[in-house]
Amino acid sequence: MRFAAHVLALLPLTAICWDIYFGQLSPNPIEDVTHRTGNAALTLLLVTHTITITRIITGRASALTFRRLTGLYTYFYAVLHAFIFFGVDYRFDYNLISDGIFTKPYVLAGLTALLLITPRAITSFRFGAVRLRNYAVVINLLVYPATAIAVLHFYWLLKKEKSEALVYLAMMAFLFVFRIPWVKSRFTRLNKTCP
Amino acid sequence: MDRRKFLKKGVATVIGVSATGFAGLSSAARADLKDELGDTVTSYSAITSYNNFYEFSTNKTEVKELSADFKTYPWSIKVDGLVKNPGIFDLDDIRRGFDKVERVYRMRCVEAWSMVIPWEGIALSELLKKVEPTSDARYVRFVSLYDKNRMPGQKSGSFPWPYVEGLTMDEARHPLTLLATGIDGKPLKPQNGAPVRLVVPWKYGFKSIKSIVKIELVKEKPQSLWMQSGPSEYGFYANVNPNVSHPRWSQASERRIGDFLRRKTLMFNGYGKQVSSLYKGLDLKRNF
Repeated sequence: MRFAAHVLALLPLTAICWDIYFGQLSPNPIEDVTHRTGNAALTLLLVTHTITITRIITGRASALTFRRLTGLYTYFYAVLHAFIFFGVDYRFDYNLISDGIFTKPYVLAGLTALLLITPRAITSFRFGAVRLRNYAVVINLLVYPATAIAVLHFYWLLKKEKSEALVYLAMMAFLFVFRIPWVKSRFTRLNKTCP
Repeated sequence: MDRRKFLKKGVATVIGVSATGFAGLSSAARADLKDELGDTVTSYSAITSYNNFYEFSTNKTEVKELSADFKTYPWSIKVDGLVKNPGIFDLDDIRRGFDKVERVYRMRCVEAWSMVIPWEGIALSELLKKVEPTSDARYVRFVSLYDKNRMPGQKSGSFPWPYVEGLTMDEARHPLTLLATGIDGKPLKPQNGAPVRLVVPWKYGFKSIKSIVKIELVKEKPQSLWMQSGPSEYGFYANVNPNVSHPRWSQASERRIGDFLRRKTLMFNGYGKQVSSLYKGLDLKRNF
């Protein structure tokens, strides 16, 4: 089961490596890999939220088994995505990067989202969890604005045809509804009354 | 400067195209094909598989497949408006009725990538000469095919179809401006804007409107599709300009398809010598 989860989470990376090896990336390979790692990060982020919601609905803690795994893969793809953009595409060129961060809202949004989920990734490890435990509540909460900003990042990146970003937005909105205290308490109570 | 002299000055180096018209280049000749700056032509497979053509898809790698069955015969282009001799031209009229021109041009997309493409077609100025614009004509307005059944991307309500573009009379008459009907010795593929498209190499790629059905000489500045849908991002001129940034893409550099490293973007895409005089006294930061 755990193995299957790893395989699934590594599927986007495997597909990218496959395409690199067989020369099947688009004629603009860096752009292709940037977009695909970004999509993988956003998808896994929403999967991670889905796991949280499943726990709220079912009341079963076992639902959380894979949340650490999907969360860390989210971070892995997000870091890879940022590295390819800043490092491989922009070659850490100061002018390009500062131009990107200060004049292109989507770059600033992407970087902000990455920074906001960084503490949560660190606390997934024992050493981080111990050191930062006093801030755990805040660190967990940061993931929510980070998700919204990540979707915005994608929305801003697209030209006038925004439907792909709207799909992410709709999924995010659906998932976030369950975090509204009133909604959440309905489910929590429902679960308590069940034997 | 007359046209011949101008071409001699080296707009583009064109080597080894056979006299039979649409016969393909031999592979040896193709490898030598370079633009006047010495940049090698982009691979034909990249030119035909990485296309911005929203009439089919907003995904550049999907256009090739989605446009594979696009019928470009019969086809006609209506040329009218402020002209003395309006007319309807079919593809043969365009190909046979005017001098054939072959040019290797850089194509710079507003998304900060570029290609080098060996075009063939006719000089737009020749067609304009034939229809005789009146003295009132100040702009040329181009319209692409609008047919939701043949161009599935037009079912998307995100854009005010059909695709419209415009040039000033001076830009349209400029010897660099082409109506292209082929690439690399072959007729245009649908994904490249078959059967006839505009090529204006010193402007961002979106100005070079594809699958043209109408050319109209007008008095007022035409409103292009991109000006309508994103006026703060896309202007009428859209000259390649590394000093004027786009909200999403820095225009200072670009990736040439096939290269790993970015390269600096050149003012007017490297055609400044030929075209900068068209914009004397114009504030290019405001008239982007």
